[in-house]
Amino acid sequence: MVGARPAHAEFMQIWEEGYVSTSTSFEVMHTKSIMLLDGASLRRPDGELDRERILRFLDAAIGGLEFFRLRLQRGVLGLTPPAWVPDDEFDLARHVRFTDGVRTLASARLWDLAGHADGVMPLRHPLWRLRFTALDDGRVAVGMTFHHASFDGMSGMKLFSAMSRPSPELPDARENPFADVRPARAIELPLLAARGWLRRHDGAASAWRSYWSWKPTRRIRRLGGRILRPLRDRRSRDPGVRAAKLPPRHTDFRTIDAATAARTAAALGGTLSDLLVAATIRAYGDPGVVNLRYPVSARPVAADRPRNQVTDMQLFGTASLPLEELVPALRAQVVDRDLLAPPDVPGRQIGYATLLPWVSSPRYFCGALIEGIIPFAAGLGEDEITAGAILYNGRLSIGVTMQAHADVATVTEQLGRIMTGESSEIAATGRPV
Amino acid sequence: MTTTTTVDELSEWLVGRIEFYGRVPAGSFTVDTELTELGLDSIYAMSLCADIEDTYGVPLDPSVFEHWTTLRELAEGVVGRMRTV
Repeated sequence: MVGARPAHAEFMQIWEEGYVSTSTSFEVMHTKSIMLLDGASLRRPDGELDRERILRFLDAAIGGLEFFRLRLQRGVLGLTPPAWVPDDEFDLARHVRFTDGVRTLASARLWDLAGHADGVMPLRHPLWRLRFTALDDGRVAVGMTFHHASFDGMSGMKLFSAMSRPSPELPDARENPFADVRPARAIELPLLAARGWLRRHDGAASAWRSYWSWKPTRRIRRLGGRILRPLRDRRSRDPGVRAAKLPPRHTDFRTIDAATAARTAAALGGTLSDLLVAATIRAYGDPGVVNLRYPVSARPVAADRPRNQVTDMQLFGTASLPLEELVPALRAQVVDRDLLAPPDVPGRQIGYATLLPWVSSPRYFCGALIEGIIPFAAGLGEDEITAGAILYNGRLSIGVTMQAHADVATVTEQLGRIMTGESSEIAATGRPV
Repeated sequence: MTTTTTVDELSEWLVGRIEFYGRVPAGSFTVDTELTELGLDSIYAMSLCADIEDTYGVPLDPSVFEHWTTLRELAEGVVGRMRTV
């Protein structure tokens, strides 16, 4: 018998479905970062993590946030996009891991600190996970895994603001925001989608006209794609396909003074983002023309529950171009983004770069000062390099991911030096120039 | 965040943020300096919006800088929005 609580569902947007279309794409879009905390209040006198205190803070700080309680529900027969519904078996502790012992940030595999070894997140529950690790320098690393289907860079920054506090005090606990609703079942999604469609239009006639403004072939293709998803997924599980989509990777990071980097960018005629892309191209050092995917706002921010509101453009350049020419050239491409689009963008695509501005004042998580956040941008598995940066409290933390055979340490070091104006050279990785 | 924040208080806070960003020397600008002269590119415009929302609870989109072109106008606009909440 259906309960008295109304069914709740938030449908994915078209462009978000691809992130969960196959098991491989789902795994690729696990997005990781490491939050570094002042560990003084999070560790017991023996140096071990104070797990009870951490869980208490988490329960108060994020247990009442909608984002952390929503899971994915696919619609029956693929008639609708998947929807986010409340997890009626939500258990915060299920999403939190603690590392035994102490690790060193410099030598530990950053991927492990970020939670990579914890594996693929189950679709049955909300798509997030935190791993707390005590570091030998007294700090605590919080490996954060989220899924790109549930957020983009800008909504991610708002999520960080919602998770954290301006002071170290224990926040007031919040109620379950979904206490008065229940998760919509798969079979209910088509009716809920139809009702939502009608509500967004001024009457049935308007809704009907809007529905048929799409070509029927487009709708049939979408529906067919969902119905055939299990077959596509089977192909994606082929070992050869998976090996190509998920090759071994490793990471490094640098944290630099943001104002210094911003002045370097301005002197070169661009923004911090332009400089990040230029520094990535230059540090990577490919002798030919290359391009990087780069996110730009694509749509007006939706008033209700915006998650993914960006699209990727491609910025191209060559490492042989001096920064004084490369940075302005990239700026011009961003300004005139409508003039050139794939497949007309020149160069070989090597990866992705993004820079996210967060707040410039100190924030606290679990009662501890956030010293920095190292982002690992959600690239495609076959990307040769991804560079993500977060601007926080006057510092710019840059996380670089490359395939396991590449010299990520040298490239990251040089990328940071280019950003601060210390150097403009190509990274000395031994690559022929 | 308080709905009693005055334009002068918010203006002073904004000056502090611009100085912290380090894009222009402290003391080289006033609340009536055009924002375009304060080194606020798209990244720092978004960062300032995040700072305002984080501190004063007023969500802003960087498109507001098309209409509020000085720190004083920005302070007046934000205070106005605070009072309508």
